[in-house]
Amino acid sequence: MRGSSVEWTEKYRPKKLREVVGNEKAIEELTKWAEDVLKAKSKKAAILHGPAGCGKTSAAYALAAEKGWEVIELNASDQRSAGVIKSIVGPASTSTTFSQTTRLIILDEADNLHGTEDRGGTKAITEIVKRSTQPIILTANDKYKMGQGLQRYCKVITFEQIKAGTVFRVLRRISDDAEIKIDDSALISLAKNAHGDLRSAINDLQAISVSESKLESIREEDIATGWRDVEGDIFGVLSVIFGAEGYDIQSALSALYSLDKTPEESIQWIYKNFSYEYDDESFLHGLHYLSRSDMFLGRVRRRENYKFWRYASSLMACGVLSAKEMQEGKREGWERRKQRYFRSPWQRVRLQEGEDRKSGPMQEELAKKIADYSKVPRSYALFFVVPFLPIFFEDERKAAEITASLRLDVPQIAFLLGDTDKEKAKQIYQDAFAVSPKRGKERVSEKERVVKAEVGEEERRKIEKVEPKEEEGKESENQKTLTNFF
Amino acid sequence: MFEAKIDAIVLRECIESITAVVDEGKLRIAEDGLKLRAVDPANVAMISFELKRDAFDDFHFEKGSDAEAANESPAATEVGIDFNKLQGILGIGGSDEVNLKLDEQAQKLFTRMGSLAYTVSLLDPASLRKEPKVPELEFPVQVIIKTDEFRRTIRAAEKIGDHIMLGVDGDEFYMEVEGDMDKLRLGLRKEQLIHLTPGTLHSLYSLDYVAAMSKGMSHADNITLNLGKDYPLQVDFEVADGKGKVSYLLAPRIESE
Repeated sequence: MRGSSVEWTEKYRPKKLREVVGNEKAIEELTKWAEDVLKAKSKKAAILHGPAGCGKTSAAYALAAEKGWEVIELNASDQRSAGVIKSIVGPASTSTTFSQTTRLIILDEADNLHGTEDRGGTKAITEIVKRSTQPIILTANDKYKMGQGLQRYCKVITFEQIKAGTVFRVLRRISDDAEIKIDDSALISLAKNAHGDLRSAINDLQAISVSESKLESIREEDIATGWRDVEGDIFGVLSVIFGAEGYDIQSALSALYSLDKTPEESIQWIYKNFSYEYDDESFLHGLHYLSRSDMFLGRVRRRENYKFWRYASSLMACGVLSAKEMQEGKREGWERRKQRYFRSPWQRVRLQEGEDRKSGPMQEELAKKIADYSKVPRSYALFFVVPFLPIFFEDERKAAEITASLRLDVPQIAFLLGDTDKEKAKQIYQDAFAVSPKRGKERVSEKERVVKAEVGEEERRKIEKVEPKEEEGKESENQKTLTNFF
Repeated sequence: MFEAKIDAIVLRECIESITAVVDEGKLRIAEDGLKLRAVDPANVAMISFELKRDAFDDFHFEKGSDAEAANESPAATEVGIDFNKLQGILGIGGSDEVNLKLDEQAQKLFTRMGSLAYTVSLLDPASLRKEPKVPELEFPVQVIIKTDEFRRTIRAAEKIGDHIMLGVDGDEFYMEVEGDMDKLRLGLRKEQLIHLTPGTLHSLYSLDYVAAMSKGMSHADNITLNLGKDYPLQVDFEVADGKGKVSYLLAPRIESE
C-alpha cells in the first residue's frame, strides 16, 4: 500500500464540508452562499481566496458532494483561453445536467490566467458569471489579480493559513489510517515546516513514508530528507556575500544562485546593504566590482545575451566578498547590521501613501479641464500648468476668473488654495459666478486668452526665470506667438 | 486482437456522428460490434453510439490474453481514439474500403484505405473523461421528423439566435428561435410529420449544440426527437443502413430571471 500511486492529498480529501479543517468562518460563509445561490437574483459565483494548501478546492468539492451537485472543473492544466472558457463554461453555466441536478463549475487558480494561452480568459469569465444560472466557484491565491469587475459579481470568501496544530492533527490521523509508524515530534516538525500549507505537509508525509524503512518508527531525525527546498532568504545570502560565514568565494556564489531573483534585482539588494558594512576604502573596492557587474547587466539588456548574467553574478558576489579581505583584521568579526530593504520601483510606487497619492486624481481632473479649455495635451497641463495654479490662486481676482473659465468646483478650488480654507473657496466660487454672466461671451474668449497666456507665462518663467507677474498688455502682445505655439 | 474491413463511406458517417459531440472517446470493441458513450467537456451533451458487426464487411475480434483487461470485462477491449483526427484523415482517403487493425501491445490502430496507410496512436483511456452514467429519463412526447426538414430549420435558426425552443402544442410540433431582433418559427402539423405524440410542453436548448448535432445526423433519413418539459432532449437515429444506432442527449438551458 505504500507503493500505491494514489496521492494522499486526493485520497484524504474531505468528503463533507465539516471535514474541511480550519477556516470555520469561511466554511460557514460558503454554506450560506450555497443555500442562497439557487434563489433568484443571488450572486452565482463565489471567489475562495487564500494561500496555497488551505482547503479552497477541497471545500468546493466537499460542498458539491454534500449538495449532490455535479462538478465541472477547469484547472490550470487545461487551456483556458477566452474561446475555451466560452465554449465549455458558457454552456455549462446555463444548462442543467442530464439528471436535472445543479451543476457546480469550479475554476481552479482563477488568478493565474495569463500568457498567450489564456488570453482574454478573465473577461470571458466575467461575462459568464454575469449570465450564469448555475453556481460557479473560483479559487485564487491573490484576489487582487482578478480584477474589480469580476469581484463585484462574486461573493468573496477569505481562507486563511492552517495553524500548525491543525496540520499536526490531520497528519496524525492520516498516518494512523495509513498505518505508518511515526513519532509525534517528527509530525510536529513536518507541520511547522509546511507554513500553513496542509497539502504540502501531506505530500511530505507521503514522501517520507515511501522512502523510510517500514520496520522502525520514523523519528524526527529521519525527516531531514523531507525538508522542502526553500528558496534562499535574501538576508541570509547577503550575510554570506558580506563574509559573515568566512571567506569562501564558492559558497558566496552558490548562495546567490539559490535566490529566486534575477541578477538585476540582486545587485540592487547588495548595493543597498553593503555600503553599511565596510569602511570607505573597501566600500570603494566593492563598488568597483559592482559597477563592472552592472556593465555586464547592461550588456545582457543590449545584446539579449543572458550568458553575461554569469559574469555579473560572479562579479557581484565574489567581488563584494573580496572587499572583506581588505578590511580583514581591521574589524573584529561580523556583526549583523540593521537590514536595509530594497523595493522594486513598482512596489515603491504602490506603497507610497500620503499627500501625493491622495491628490493624484484631483490633479488629473484639473489637468483635464485645462486641457479641454486651452486645447493643450493633458500631460502637458498636468506637468506644466497644474503645479503653478496655486500661485495664481493667491490673487483672488485671478482665482475667480480662472474658476469661471475652467468651471472649477469648490473642492478643486480648495485644493488649489492649499486644502485649508473652505470658506475662501466658496467665496471664490461665488465670485466666479458673479463674474461670468456680467462679462458675457466676448469676455470668455478674452479669459481664454488670459489663461493661455498664463500657461505660456509660467512655462517661460520656468525656462527663462523671468519674474512671474507681467502686465496685461504685455501678455496680449505675447499672446499670438504663444497661442501659435500651442 | 481486432481486425475489420468496412466501407469508407459508412465509417465516415459513423465518425461524423461522433465528432458532432466529442473530439475523443473510449471506443469499446466487443464481439458483437463497437460501442461508445461519451460526454462533451461541458457535460452538456452526450452521445451513445453503437455499430453492429454486420455493418462491417469483415469483422474479427478475439479477446487477447491480457489478464488485466480480462478481469474487467470478459469480452471487450477499450481504446481511446481521437476521432477528430481520424475524421480528417478519412476525408483524404477517398471512398475505398478501409482496413482496420488494432495492435493493443503497441497501442496503435492501423488503418489502410487503398494505397493510403495511416497509423493512429491511441489515447490512454485513463486520461479521457469517465464514461457517463446514463440517466433514467422518461420522455412524454416523441416526434419523428425528416432529417432534412430539421436541419434546414436549424441552419436558418443559427442566423437568428443562440438558443432554440423545441415544443409540442396539441397536434403541432414547433421549433422557435428568438434573437434580439427577429423570430423564427417552424410549425408542423401531425400530418406533416412521420409520428407525433400529442401534448403541451416545451424546452429550451443551446443552439450551438443542436447545430453541431444536426451535422452529425446528416446521413440519416429520419430522426426521433424525445422531448419533455424543461427536460433533456434525446435524438435517436440510425447509421450504416440500420446497422448502427446513435443517440444524442442534450441538457436543457435555464434562463436567468
